[in-house]
Amino acid sequence: MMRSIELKILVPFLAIIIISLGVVGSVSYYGSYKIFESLIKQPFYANTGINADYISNQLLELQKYTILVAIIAIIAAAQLTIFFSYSLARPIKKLAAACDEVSKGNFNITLDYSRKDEIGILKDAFIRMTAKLQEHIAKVLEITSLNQKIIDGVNYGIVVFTRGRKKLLVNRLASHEFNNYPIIREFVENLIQDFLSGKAPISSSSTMINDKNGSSKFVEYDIQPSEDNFILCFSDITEKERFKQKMEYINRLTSIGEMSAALAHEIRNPLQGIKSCLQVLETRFLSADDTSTALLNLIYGEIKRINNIISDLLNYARPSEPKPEYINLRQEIEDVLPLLAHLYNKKHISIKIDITPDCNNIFIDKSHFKQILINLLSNSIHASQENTEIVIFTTKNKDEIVLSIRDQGKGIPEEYLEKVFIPFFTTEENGTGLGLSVVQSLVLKNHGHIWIQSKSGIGTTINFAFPFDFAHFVRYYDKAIT
Amino acid sequence: MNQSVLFMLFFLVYTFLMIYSGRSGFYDTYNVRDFFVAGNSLGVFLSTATFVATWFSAASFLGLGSSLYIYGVSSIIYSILQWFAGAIFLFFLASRIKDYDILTFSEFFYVRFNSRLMQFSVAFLMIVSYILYITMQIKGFGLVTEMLLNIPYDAAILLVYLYILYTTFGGLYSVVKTDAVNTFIIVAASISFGLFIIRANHGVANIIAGAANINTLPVSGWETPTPRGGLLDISCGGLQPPIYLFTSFFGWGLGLAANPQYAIRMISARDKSVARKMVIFSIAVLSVVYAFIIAGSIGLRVLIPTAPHINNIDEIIPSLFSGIAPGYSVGIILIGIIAASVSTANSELLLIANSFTNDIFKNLYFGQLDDDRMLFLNRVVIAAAGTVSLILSFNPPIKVIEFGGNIWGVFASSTFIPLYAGVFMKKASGHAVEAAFFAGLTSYLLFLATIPYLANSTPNNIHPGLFAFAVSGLAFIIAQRRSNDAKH
Repeated sequence: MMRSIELKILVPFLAIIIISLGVVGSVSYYGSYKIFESLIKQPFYANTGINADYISNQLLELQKYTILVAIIAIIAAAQLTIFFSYSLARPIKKLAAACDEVSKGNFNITLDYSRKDEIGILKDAFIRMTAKLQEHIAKVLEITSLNQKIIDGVNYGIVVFTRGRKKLLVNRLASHEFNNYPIIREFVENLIQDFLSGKAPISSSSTMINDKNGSSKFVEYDIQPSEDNFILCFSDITEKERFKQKMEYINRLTSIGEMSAALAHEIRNPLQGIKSCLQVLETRFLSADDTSTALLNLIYGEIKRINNIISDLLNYARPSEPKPEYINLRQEIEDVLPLLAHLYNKKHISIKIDITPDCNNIFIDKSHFKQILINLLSNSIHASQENTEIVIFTTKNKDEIVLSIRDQGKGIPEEYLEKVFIPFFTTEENGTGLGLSVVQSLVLKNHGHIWIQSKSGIGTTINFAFPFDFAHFVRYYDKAIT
Repeated sequence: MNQSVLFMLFFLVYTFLMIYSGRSGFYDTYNVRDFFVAGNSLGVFLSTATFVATWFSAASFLGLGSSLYIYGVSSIIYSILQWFAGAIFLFFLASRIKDYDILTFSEFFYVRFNSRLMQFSVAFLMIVSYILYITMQIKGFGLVTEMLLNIPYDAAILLVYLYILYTTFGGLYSVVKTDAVNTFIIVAASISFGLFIIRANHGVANIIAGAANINTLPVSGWETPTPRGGLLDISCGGLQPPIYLFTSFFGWGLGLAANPQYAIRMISARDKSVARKMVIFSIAVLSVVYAFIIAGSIGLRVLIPTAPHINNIDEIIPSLFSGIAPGYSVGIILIGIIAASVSTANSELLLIANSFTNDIFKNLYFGQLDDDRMLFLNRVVIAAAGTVSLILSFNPPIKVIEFGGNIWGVFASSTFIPLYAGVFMKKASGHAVEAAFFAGLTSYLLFLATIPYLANSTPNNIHPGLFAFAVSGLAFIIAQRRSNDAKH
């Protein structure tokens, strides 16, 4: 086993020591021999004895040379020792540096020394070990990445926490909720605290939380133990709750609508009978004096009014099926305006149309659109002061075109904003309260949505958004039915 | 205790200091950059120490000391002031040369001018010049050691050879760390020497007063005595012609400014600020060292107005000092001389190896040279170049020694303009610096060769560096203009 590292260390060191001692010893021996030789050659006188100065000088010379040779031997030995130790230390240092790099996570390392002793074996083992480690780490990273994707992909906020309230994991949705809604962050913190302290033993529930501004959120949550930790899953179900409430509300409205439609049908027939009877009575029995004529006209007017209400009711409850097509917004608005000219001219209201070319086409039923526009413009004109301006403008929002009608009227009080679409809700003396209900019904039928922004005394902006092409119309429809 | 044994014990202590300080260089070196320029990581302390130790050679001590003894203060103008003037150039060079990522001095000319010819030529010039200069260092030390220790000259030069090799094998880290120890020894030795002589004269005032009255032969057997007051005269009463003192700046001053050793010290500094501080602090330390050597050497002349006959004027200071000073004091001086020799020679030996491997061998060798091979090759070249110097030192030809004394003049005439034009002139062209280099080098060698035939004429009193530098400058201007015209 001449390749063994012990021999690599032992042989050079022994050689260095032996050579150094040999050189120094030889010099001492040679010097001593020379002194002895010169002493023998000294003339010896019985009365004087040996010259002490001569001997001491010779010995000092010997000392001097011994030190000189020792110095040379030391330097040479030190140099050789460093060379040998360097040849051992350098690959080990490289290996140590490589280990250090691996510990920092850098696996792109090269060990550029070639040896066949234990250090070489160590290098080969290290390279194999690194390759294996890299392989395992890659697998772990892959699994971790997949898990992370799953955790981030779920539609739930996930927080893994310890008994010591330390959060081990917060998924993407949870982070998003915490960053955007401090109210939810606070709720989760409190929930964890209460759960761990036993104040909230129930691990699964849904609750409504209110913040200082009075806005509220609905949160559904579930806490499950997992070994020493706990997994909290929560979901902001505010939209869902609102939708649920809306659905209930729409169902109620639908019931009202259907009942109204049924009533309307039931009322319309007798009304027609009453009208016919009145016409007979008018021709046969009633004299043509002013009072009779006035009374009859009044009755006819009321019958007509009841008829209009019945028509509106039927429009609201059962709007006709839309036949969407691409329409030119500006053209349609310009076609409708003359129908309302008598209303806005009377108040000296100017109508300004501001439609950008990229928002000029929408996909909607043309007759429905006209009906919506007439209703909304009528409302705006009624609400507007004299000598003011109504602006009709468009904006683009993702896959929708938003048409807005802004007036400078008296505005709608904040408490009424949520009620304006309820049938028969009206603040006008002569209003039926069905106009906006019908508009909303038609907008929904055409896959749009409507909302109102208003400030009392400043004015109102009614916005309604529609898909701008067929693809979005269908996508919206798909979303709606799923 | 016998003086020789005492000196040997001093050497033994010095050996341990060298072994201790030089050992880590090997282990701190991981790659070529570490070996060549200490990983560009040196701080102010180590940079200053290595700068001082590299600057201060055995010649600085023995040659300058002897010159001061013979010619007095004119030697300050002839050497020290000119070196310090050269150091001003180095201060400005420090700010610019750090902009180049280079490992050797010669590589600068390739990086800056894309000139392989310059890289090869400068590397070759460095190798030849430094081998001869190391030979001078070894020889100087060998002679002094032979005289003081009464040992064979061959054993003495073998000793310094081993020191030089040991401290160079570890690369610049080893050189720098041993230089820190050597600088301490050099400062201690010069102060010790100066203080002893000042005390022996009972103060500096007595040295000045005594020097003003010296009118003896400097060395027994010489023909020309020192004129009275000459020791304190800047031209030594006419013995040192002012024109020679002035023109020698083109050898000593500019030679120091163009010396590759200092450029490499700047490159190895951590940053520009360290490089600049290194120059300033080194000048401060060297000022102290020179002040004591000046006082000591002139004071020694006052104590011993005429030196006994000697073979080599470099032996004046150690031989006279050993006659009047106690053993331990002479021992310190002796160690100071070896420290000065080793610290200058190891730096030059390292540059020889670096230039050969990086600038010549690597460009001619078409295989792949990894760091380990480069380091191994460098150590082989260190051993080879050191051995060549040692062999030359056994029986050095007189011409070699004469040329060794002119090395700074050679650098001033050949590399000064290419180096400073490259660093400070954006438009300097490769052809212009090549012209400057070869014209300067050739003319310097020509002047050296013709000087013996110009005895007693004016040019003999003018340093050949002046002519050669002028030729180099002229060649640069002409070639630069031609380059500019070609561009237009």
